[in-house]
Parts: sequence; C-alpha cells; structure tokens
Amino acid sequence: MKKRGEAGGQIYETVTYLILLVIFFVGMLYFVLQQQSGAGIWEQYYAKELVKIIDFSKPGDALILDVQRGSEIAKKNGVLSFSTMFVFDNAAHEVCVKLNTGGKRTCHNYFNDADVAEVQLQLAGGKNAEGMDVNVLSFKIVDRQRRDLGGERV
Amino acid sequence: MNSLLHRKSFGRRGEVGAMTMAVLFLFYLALIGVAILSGHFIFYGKGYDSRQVEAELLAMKVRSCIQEQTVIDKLFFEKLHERCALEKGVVEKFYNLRVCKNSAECISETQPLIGLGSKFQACRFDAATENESYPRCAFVRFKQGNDWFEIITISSQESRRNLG
Repeated sequence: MKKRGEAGGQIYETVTYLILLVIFFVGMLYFVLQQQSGAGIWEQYYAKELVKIIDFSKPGDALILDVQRGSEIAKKNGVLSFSTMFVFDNAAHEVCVKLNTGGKRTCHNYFNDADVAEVQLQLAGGKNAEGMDVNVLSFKIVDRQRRDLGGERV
Repeated sequence: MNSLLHRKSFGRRGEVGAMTMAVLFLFYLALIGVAILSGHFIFYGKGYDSRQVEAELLAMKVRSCIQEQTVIDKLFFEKLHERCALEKGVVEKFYNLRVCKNSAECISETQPLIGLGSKFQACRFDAATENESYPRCAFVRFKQGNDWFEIITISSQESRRNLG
C-alpha cells in the first residue's frame, strides 16, 4: 500500500516536471526560430532606410527601393499579402514595416513635412546589379495635404 | 500511535524535499532561459542604429533652408518648421536642434537663434561615440554673407513596435 502510494506520487511529480519542461522548451524554441529569420532586425533596417530616403527627398521626387530580401523574409514567415508589409501614415509622419504574421510591426517617424503617395509594391518590378529580377517598392513624395480634421497647413 | 506519528512526520519531511526539488528545477529552467536570451541578444546586437545619419540629415536640411533665404531674421527662426518643411511634432519629440550665429561655441551659447532641447553638452564627450546610450550629434558650420552660422542636431529616435 505504501509503495503504490509512493509510486503514484512520484509519477505525478515526474509528469508535472515533464509538462513544465516541455512548455519551457517549446517556448524557447518558438522564440529562437522567430528570431532566426532576422525579421525584427530587417524590419528596423527597412523602416529606418525608408525614413532616411523620405527625409532626404523633396516634393516631386519618385523613389524606388529594392525590397527583395524583405519580401523573401515575409514570405518565409507566412505573410500572405505583401501589401501589408510597408505602411505609410502621412498624418503621423510614420513608416511601419511588418515582415511576420505576429501582431506587431516596426515603426519609425520622418521629419520631412511632406506626404508619401502612390505606394506600390511591384513583384519582379526591377533588376539588381546582377541583372536579376527583384521586388521593388515605389512611391512619390508630394506636398503636404490639409487634413480633414483641421490640418496644420495646406 | 507512535508509528502513526512517525509516519506523519516522515510524510512532512518528504514534502519539504519535494518542494526543494521543485524550486531547484524552476531555478535551473530560469538559468537556461537567461543563457539562451543572453546569447540571442549578444549575437543579434541592439539593432540597426541610424541616429547619426538622421542627425546629419536634419542639419543638412536646416542648412539648405537657411542658405535659400534672402532675409534671415527672428521671424524666420520663429517659423523655422514651416519655412523649412519640417514636421514640428516629430522634430520636438525625437530631435534636438540648435542654431547659432557668429558664436564662438554654439554648445554653450546662451542666446542661440533657435534652441530645441538641452542635451547638447553630451556632444562634447569624445567617449560618447563609443557609448550607445549617448545621443548622436551632427555639426554644420557655414558662412552666409558676412555671418557664420553653426547648426547642431541630435537624434534620439528609436524605432517602436506597434500593434497592427
């Protein structure tokens, strides 16, 4: 009787430990695999590079950026629609980049008081230095438009 | 009776031992977790830092704006954001900007033409370039007519993770 009781208690403890261990390692593995694609660092890279380009530009400029690497990472992470990868918020002067299916995206602000318009992601729309087709992001810088909610300037 | 008591006290000692093992187990898990996270952050580093370039871009933009003006007066600097197409909210939140005219040292100038922010003293430190916690500064000095202008800009913007 005593031994069966002890055995039952030991099994209970062992199973509890095993469950905790499995939960812990699954969590760690998920975290490491998420980071392995480097989506976080590439989101930062694209957001900051886009901000630099926008800050350097003037109204009337048309810009094209090679986003082949970013779109490869997004596809690998299960992003179904490339149109959600790059989002420009003219009201907040913000560029947001999302290369994964998680709930968060990386955002960065630009100080140029201009709007970004005609944003297009073209698959195989450009060529790299080796002459290979690459995905490109194109957009135009235009004068700041008045906001309907009482914008600051025309 | 004695054997019952003996059995009860034996049960309590066993429970204390089991609890100690559980705490030790959780401690080992935490240790492994910390090791994995530390390795990750050491390998991937702190991210992509573009503050220096952002500060230089702002300084360059303000310089171009001043150079395009025919009249540079107090009103121009009061409306600098509008005249130079700068988004006021973003500049005030993430940047420091100081413009001086005919000043020996703009950082310690008591009456700059425009002074947004107060972290400029950190720009003097040579060691600041090695320390990521220090802001990134850009200096531009140029002559316009008979006057020397000096522009100092600092960027402290970090990218954010927003829901969306």
